Amino acid sequence: MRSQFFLVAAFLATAVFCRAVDQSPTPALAGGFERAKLESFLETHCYECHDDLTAEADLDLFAIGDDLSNPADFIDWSHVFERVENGEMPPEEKDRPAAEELKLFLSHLEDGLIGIEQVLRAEQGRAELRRLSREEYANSLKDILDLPNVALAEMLPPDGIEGHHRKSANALDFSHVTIAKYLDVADYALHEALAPKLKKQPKKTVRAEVNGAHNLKNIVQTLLVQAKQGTAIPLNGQEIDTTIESIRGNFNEGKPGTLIDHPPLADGIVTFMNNEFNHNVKMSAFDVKQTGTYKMRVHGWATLNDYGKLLPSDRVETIAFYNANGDVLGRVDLKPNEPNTGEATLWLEEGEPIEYLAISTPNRTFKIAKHYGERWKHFKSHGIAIQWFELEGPLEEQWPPESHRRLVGDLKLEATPEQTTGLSWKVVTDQPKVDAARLIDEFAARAFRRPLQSGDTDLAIETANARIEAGEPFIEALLAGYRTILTSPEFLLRMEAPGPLDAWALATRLSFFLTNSPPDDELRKAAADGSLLQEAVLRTHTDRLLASDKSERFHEHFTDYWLNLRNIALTEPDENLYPEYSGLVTESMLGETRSYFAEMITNNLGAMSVVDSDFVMINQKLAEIYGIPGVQGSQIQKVSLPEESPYGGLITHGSILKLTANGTTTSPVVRGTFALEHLLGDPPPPPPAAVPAIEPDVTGAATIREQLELHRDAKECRSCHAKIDPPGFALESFDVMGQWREQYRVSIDRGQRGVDLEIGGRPVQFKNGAPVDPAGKLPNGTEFSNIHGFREALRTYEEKIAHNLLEHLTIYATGAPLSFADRSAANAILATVEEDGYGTRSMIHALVQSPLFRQK
Amino acid sequence: MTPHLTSHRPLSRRTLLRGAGAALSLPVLEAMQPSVFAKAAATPPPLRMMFIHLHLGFLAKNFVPEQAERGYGMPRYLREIEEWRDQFTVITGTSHPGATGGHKSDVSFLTAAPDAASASFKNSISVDQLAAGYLGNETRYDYLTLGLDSRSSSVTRSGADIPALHKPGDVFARLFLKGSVKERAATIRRLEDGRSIMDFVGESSRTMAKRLGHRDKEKLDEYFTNIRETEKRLQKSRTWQEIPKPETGAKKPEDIRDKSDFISQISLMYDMMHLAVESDSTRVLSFNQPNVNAVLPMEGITQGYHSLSHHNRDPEKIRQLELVEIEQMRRFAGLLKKLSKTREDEGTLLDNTMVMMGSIFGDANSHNTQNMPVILAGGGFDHGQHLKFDRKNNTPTANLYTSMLHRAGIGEVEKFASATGPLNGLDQA
Repeated sequence: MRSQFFLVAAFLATAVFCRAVDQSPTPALAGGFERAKLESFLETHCYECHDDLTAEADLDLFAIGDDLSNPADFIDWSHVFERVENGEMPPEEKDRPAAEELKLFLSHLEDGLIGIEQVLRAEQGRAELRRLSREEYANSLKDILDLPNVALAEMLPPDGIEGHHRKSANALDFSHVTIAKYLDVADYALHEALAPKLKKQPKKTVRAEVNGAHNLKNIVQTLLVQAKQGTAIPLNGQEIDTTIESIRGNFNEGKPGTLIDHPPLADGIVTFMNNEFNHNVKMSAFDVKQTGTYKMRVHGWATLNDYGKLLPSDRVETIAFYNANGDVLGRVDLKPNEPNTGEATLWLEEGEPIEYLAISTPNRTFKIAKHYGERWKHFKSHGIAIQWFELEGPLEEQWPPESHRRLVGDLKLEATPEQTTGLSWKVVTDQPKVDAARLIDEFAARAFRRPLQSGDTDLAIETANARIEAGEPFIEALLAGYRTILTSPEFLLRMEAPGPLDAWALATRLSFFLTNSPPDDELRKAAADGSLLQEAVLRTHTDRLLASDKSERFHEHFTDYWLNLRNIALTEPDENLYPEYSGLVTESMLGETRSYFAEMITNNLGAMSVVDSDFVMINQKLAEIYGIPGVQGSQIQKVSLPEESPYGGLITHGSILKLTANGTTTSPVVRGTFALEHLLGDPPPPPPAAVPAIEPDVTGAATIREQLELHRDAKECRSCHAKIDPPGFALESFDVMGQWREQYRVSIDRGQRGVDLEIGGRPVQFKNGAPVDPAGKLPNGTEFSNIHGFREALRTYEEKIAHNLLEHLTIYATGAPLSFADRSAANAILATVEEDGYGTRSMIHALVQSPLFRQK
Repeated sequence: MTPHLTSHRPLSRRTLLRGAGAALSLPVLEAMQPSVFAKAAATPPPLRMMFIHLHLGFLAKNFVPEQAERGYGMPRYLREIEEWRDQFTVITGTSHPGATGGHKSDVSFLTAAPDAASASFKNSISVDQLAAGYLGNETRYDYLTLGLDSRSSSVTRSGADIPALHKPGDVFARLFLKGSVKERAATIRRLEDGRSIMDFVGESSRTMAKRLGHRDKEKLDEYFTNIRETEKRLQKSRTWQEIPKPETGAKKPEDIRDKSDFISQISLMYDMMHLAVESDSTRVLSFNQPNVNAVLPMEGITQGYHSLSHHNRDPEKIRQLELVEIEQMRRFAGLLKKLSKTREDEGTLLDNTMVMMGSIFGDANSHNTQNMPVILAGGGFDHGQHLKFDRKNNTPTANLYTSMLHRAGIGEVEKFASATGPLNGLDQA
């Protein structure tokens, strides 16, 4: 249980003692710690190496004080405890202490350490006061204002991290920058909630049809460019349009090329490219006049171009739509060979351009330099035939929208010229102060995570009244009142009183845990009547929230930090080495891991599901990457794995294999460390400073394994690398994006030919290098020859994996990491869930019912 | 706890003059009457600080001069800025002790905080923010934090990251454009909100604090302190709203749409940095150029910048990486040129601006944070040197930060972060 140590030390170093020591009554005698009781053990087993003269590994036991309430001493002693308890010290080559002697030593030290913590706990509780994280704040605004689709979190600065998560006081610090941004975002969200205009935009359907190849720019500029460059094929019906005349431009002379489409005009186009950077991908045909929900339809089909002949395809192809930030708005799938219509529901912001990408096509770009004109005669590739796009909306019936009613109620509106706020209406009221007070009370009742008490809204109402008296528009006065509430400590801070949580604090913890959002109406009801404090009711609400739509916020946010999914796009696979890659791969990987985590909860999958499963959650794109036949479309589906498949469990998810690679190469050290730290619950010690990393040699001269062998020969490296490398070796069978490989891919020099293989219509730009050797030996001696054997060998890790997941869940749910004093509570939880193989859902229930969760 | 409105220090006459009269520092007028402004101000021109971080750094063989004395032979990259040989110092053999954590270590570039990757990492104040606390009062903006995305290199006193402005057009608007009526209304709204929050805090803190343990009380107090700080800043921005922004002959830049063309983006940001100090809108700037993997749209480049940085001695990758890094130096030369061509009093803007440029990585290929490549230009130091420290046993880069702080008149910071003192061999001219 080394992992505990790091959290404990980190937690105590920064959280409990810092600045606290000199202000609290010194709890030095708690636990009755007396160093004298340790002396004989230290004398016999420790001082030989760790005295003031030798001080091996910089540890001089004489220099450690004996006041456990001193944070430095606490950390040093807990360090000693961990090493001895794990059996790492005394080292192998020395005499083992007798069992009884060892037990005495450890129990005295442990009692001392726990005792100190308990004293602090009684006064402070485990968790500390903190602000809402940026996601919690954004989700709170969304829920209170009924603005589920507005992006708010992205406007706030990122939070800090403690114990991998952004849920504890140390991660959620205050700065004037944060507070100013929170103010800005509250202001922005309130304005987004209001109806922008008195009248709603009528629902319209706009269709953009291909009508002559030269007119393609009226749909998307990039399609015209592709037609000009001869990488896209213009169509008449399902046949190739042969009446296109292409006149080459000259870039250096600033002359653009032109395209003349003689009748019959093209009514469709086949595209093969998914690169967002090359050309303008904005859909010029669609102008969104009102924020809201829209239907996007695409009419076309999937096809296959074989050097200028269109052949039947057996694939479904996908077109994706993005906003200007690159966030996916939605995807449309098209079936092969016969014209068909695909549809997606998009949330669109007023005035924001929609970007288009033929995302499932196998190429980012074509670089077929030696052919001009009809380049499509020179490659074979899957593509998408498109005849038209159609946008219908806004689909909202209710006007003004619910979000507006939450702020203004049913008060009547009247048209005005546009005001400084951008609004073109004003509120009609003949008793502004009365209405303001009523609306502010209603608003505060929703915003505060506890019952409203008299006096709570006095200041907000005074703020509004002062503005009304100053002659400001009513709506301005009202919003000022709301802003006061949204930045009040009651709203912005998570405050809990020491001891058992009351029903409201419990409701708040539960909903921020399982939905990353404030309590919903049902939970508020159970808090108000106190029934939530009953075990059975708490259980019912846990199940209800886990099944709710908002649990997606939990799946997303938790895996972003547990598994570092938030870092997945930091690097992109090298275009030459991994031509199979497209943006859809990354998007699908996120979908896979999040839905898999949801499956773990829904079906109560056990700890071993972290490393093994007989199914995967994939779509067509990932099925291609994983070599699994018969999966169609961009939707994530549950698919059974063939017996011999190397995939299964989080450990072989493309997402994890990608984010532990650098886009060009993989390193067993990086992957091994990740697996041990994030999945297996057995983190290696941090690397010594100033040791250069070992990097794979892409020229293929030496494999990473050969380089590592050299490194491991050095004595000081061996013990750690014996632990780190084996999981990494097993994962070497997967490339930088999770594809199975038996040989490394090696880059070729300019002008050299790669292996004889075409991907997406282009000869590949790599050659095969050394074979992969995925064999290894775990520190406990178990040998494995590949990923299958490795999975078998991991059976002994079950308890560690479970403990690791519990650690992550605990800090995420309670805002405090597991520490010394939590050992018995954590062990009790694990004991409860052991019989069903440490089922994830059972573990969540057990945690929620435990004192870790139910007390501050 | 009573709500407390800061009585702000009255702005000095000089500051006001600067705001109103910055048009006089336009290049054309300046050529005719170089000293009009100098007469108005009896004191010498202020010192400014710029900190530029290039995440992926440079290939050492093209950056580190062989000789340590003046008149050292210029390695390939430094040749791009050879014109200013006597106005910059190249500093090698320094690093931040304990900076580990691969790409994550970049958060320590201006803070020198160790172990960025550890679970308990807590960052500390960055050198620019510390300086802004002393130099920020005189100008419209205490500081500007710039970047290519929302990440900046700047960190507050409590260890929180400060987001970056990353659209050159937005920076320009801040410097020179009068806010729309709507924006000004929003600023006033926020200021008044600031006051009402203070009221709220004053009322409810007493009742709330009763229920809390002492550690939570401290946290609550931290919150109140920052609320007050926020309010103070809102107050300042309100004051400056009454003072017209300076005029400029420069045009608002078009934002670059091609996300892969980060190098043009960098140039535009350098232009903005020059305009910001020329107009004395701020005296402290940081500019973070984060890790990107875009394929630069440049002749001869076929792979992403980050992929190239992991060259693993592949000659083709190194060839391409050199092209990118030479281009980086050329753009940096563009900044030095602008600063050195703008006259100020008897000298140039470069004489009064410390420009520090460097990377957390001595070798991005292996994520090695030893031997950070660093250039310090301008700011009135005795330049023209190669300060060569031990490559095996590095000197803290924070020593350089300490020297810069001292040069800016912030002598009360004896040692910044991991510094052991000022940087040996770096003296005022």
